[in-house]
Amino acid sequence: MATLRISTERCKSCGYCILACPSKALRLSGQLNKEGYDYVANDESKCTKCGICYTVCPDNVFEILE
Amino acid sequence: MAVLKKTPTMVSIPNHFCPGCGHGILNRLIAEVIEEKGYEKKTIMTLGVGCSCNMNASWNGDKIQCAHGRGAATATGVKIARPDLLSIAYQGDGDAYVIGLAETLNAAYRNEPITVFVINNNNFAMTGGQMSWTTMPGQVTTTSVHGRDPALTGMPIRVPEFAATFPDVAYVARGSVHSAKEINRLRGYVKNAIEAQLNGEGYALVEVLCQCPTNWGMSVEKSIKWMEEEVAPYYTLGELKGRRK
Repeated sequence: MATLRISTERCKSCGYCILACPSKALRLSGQLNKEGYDYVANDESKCTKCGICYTVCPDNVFEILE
Repeated sequence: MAVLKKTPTMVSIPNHFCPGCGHGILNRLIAEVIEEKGYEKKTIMTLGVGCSCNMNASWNGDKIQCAHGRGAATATGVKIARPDLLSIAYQGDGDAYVIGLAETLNAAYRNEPITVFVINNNNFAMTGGQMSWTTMPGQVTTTSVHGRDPALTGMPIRVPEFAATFPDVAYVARGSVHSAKEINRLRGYVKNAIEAQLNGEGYALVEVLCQCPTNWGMSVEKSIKWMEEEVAPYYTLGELKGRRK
């Protein structure tokens, strides 16, 4: 089963992935990374591992592994 | 674990672009295609001056920081010295179309066998968001505080359309990063532009419309909406000159 890996330390909280996610599975976590950005988090129950977050992310936060 | 989507090695170092900036997306697409072709150790990137300079710290491959506007000229030199290498110029619109318009057009006119990528974010971003020749009519920048007035400063320049008229040029396209759909299309343009050089077909240019939330003073959501509704209709997306082979 595929898994979504989120490198939270790379996230800049721009929200492009949240806008693009067709399953509305992504949100800001309310937690800050080392750079002080509120990083993105995933709702596993909604995520289909379609990879659109990987496509739009300018900071390579997402990877999909199987 | 099998990897379905993995960050390419050439963009494995976190970049220093602003939050939401589209540069990082084009960086990744170029890195994906270079890795696909097995050219990670056989590519030299010539970086323009501007936000492209950020890649000095993050682009995990060979690169040269060029004088302002001279990305295509330096890439020409790289290709002459080492024709076995992939020579890529990576510039912004202020660098390639304003300061370096002569170098950009002359490389295209001579049909130099190089690949040129130009990020068009409608302003001089690195220096604080001044008006550039690609700034949209009515667009507010730090040097067009009431919005760009085309009656005074002309209409935005469309360089790829001009470059596509040169008879020998191999490939010219314009893509955008304002949606996943357009990013997927853009990946095809990036691949064609790199393959054109590897196959010895000649000069290739891909312009990329790119959001600049910081200098536009917009959220990412507003930025991509503005691009879709205002910018992309003026700067026609698609292949302006397809490959012959």
